[in-house]
Amino acid sequence: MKQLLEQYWQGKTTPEEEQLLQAFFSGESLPEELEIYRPLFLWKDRQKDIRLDRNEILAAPRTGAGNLYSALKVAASVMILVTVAIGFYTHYKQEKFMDKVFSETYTDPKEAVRETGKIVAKVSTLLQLVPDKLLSESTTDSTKTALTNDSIQ
Amino acid sequence: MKQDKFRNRILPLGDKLFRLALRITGNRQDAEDVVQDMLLNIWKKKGEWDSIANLEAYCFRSTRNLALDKMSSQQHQQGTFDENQDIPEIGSNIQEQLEQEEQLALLENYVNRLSEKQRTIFQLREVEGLSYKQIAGIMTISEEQVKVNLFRLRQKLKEFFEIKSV
Repeated sequence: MKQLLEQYWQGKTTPEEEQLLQAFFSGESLPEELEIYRPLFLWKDRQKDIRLDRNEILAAPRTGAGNLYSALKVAASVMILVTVAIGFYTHYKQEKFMDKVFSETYTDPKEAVRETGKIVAKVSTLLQLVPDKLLSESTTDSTKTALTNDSIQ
Repeated sequence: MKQDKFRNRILPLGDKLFRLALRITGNRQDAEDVVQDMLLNIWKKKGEWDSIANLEAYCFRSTRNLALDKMSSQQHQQGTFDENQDIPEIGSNIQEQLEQEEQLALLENYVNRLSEKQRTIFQLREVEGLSYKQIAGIMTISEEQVKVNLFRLRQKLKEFFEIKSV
């Protein structure tokens, strides 16, 4: 075995012979003069105990191709948040619109009829006064403004 | 078919590839990332497996390259290969009678102070038991370069243990 060890130091052993040496130095009883080399073989033995955590590897990738995976996850999350936000906003706007519509509705039928009559009368008067101007394409901006102001009043 | 090959030939190399990546990067998380990327890459290339002469050697080489890329991206220094590159001394306190655990720690520290090439050669031979030819193939250097480096590393270790015992 000493001869094999000497060949090992010279780099002249095969991997198989080195396995023999490893087994020899892992044994409990060693010749005293070889005991000094034991730590080297013990170190080699312990290196084999270093193992890959397979759960880590099989988990979602962290890098490389994983970057794309992570980016897609972020994009998907943002999309969901935006969709929910739009949903809430639309719902809110619709509620507000309906509130406005119903809050401006007349509750007294007589008052509603009276107000409607006023508007119809105003429109009829307007149509009688300026029928040509209302239908003409050459109506000027000032006339439109006057009509609008009049109708509002 | 490909899945069987992946499960039976590539996945069992996981621990060896991880140890190599760990030896190069010096960081467990980085080493896990390297192995994960390597496994993804090799699976994507499953159509080319038949044209790869030695799939195991290819996995080692790919792992080493990815580990070096990671080191490079983190601006770690990469050694350039020179077979006459100095082998560092093991330590200044070699005359002391060290306890076994201290000797192991000193040895680990020593291996990590070697250049990347020396470390990789040492790891692939001393820990993984690969042949000179396999190591040369993985590192794309000559068998002679592997032999010379390993010889010098072993001589340094022998010297360390013998001086320590005086």
